[in-house]
Amino acid sequence: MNDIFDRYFEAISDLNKNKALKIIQNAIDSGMSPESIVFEVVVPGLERMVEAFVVLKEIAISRHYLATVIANDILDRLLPLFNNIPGTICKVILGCPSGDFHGLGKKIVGGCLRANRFEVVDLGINVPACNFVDAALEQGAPVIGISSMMVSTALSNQGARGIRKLLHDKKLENKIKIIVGGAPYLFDPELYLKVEADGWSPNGLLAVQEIKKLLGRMDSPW
Amino acid sequence: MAQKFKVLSLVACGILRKEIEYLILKNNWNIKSQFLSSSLHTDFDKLYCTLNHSLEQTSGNNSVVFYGECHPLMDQIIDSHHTIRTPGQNCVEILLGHDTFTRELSKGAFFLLEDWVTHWDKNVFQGLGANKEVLKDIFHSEQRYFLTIRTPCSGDFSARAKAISTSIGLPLHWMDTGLDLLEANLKFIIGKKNMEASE
Repeated sequence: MNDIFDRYFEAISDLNKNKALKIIQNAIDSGMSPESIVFEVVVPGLERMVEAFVVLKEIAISRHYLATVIANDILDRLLPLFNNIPGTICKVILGCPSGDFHGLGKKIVGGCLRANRFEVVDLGINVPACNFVDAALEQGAPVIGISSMMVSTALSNQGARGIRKLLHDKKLENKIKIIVGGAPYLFDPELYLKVEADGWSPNGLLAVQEIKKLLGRMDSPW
Repeated sequence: MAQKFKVLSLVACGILRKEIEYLILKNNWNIKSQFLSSSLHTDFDKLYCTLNHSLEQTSGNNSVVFYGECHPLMDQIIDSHHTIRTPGQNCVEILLGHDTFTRELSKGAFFLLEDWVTHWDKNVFQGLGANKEVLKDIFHSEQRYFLTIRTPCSGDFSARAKAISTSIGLPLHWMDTGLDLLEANLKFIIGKKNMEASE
């Protein structure tokens, strides 16, 4: 198992998607269960990539991105093969607020969430506040995630603050929680309070934990 | 008192160096300028250190800065050196104005300026890595086209821009723009700083 993990991690570190997929296919062919591949190779690979990117600053963001793309590709292939197909935890609406066109971090977070059984609805970049709320209502999503690259878009009324106001006006604050992330929050861990979010996360994997925590605090989820 | 602040120091991102140098000459501004590499845009730590260092070298209160919100702590850096910066999110918004910038943004533009095109390999590879397929994937995930902006100071960088467009596989659009908004923006901070100095 360690050998498979090491070879898989080396492949994604080398940005070699085909090699990574081949290692996974060989593992399936040799009789390894899809569950083991996902939870002992793919998800830990993503975790190690996050550590290398965020903590150790050893790798470029493109490698981190590719690791999530590959992880999602493998999940799509392997989940139908599980003995008991795990249900999704819940839907999460993701997007960058109006004026913000830096979507790469959001994509990585989305990939980490999907790998951890959340269903992600990615609204893209430059999204007005009302679209986040409309999407959450249409999709029955209890969590809205907003990724900002700049302080102004984090503080904008089209970001978390605008969404908070809409949730308040529609009396939805107990049904829909707001999580934020992105560069400005890394430099000011109290910023999420200023933008009136319920929580924040410095990376995709901690976002998984934070969202679970928020779901636990909800009075009446969907 | 006014005499003391006669010469202003400008610390600026090098992305519009030609344009800013042209405007300094045109307006006969009494400015000593220092341009920092646009590649700092992709490295927060280096940008933070370099900008702080450059501002420390200027003589305190008589400096202005040409930068957008290129670092999450940009306004704290600016305040800590008692200086002011050009209003705006980034160089493209300053050059094109908010409405044009957001209109093109919402249509899926990835903006290119001459300096960014010239240093594409260094800037983009440094930030995103050099794997062509991954770069394609990243750009195609949110962007629809490259919008290349030409100013009256631009040289001919069409061949290089076309090569980038071909390499990434996104269509190349062009927009010609004047320097009026950039000039107004610079005039605003210079005027404000001079007014502070004369008080």
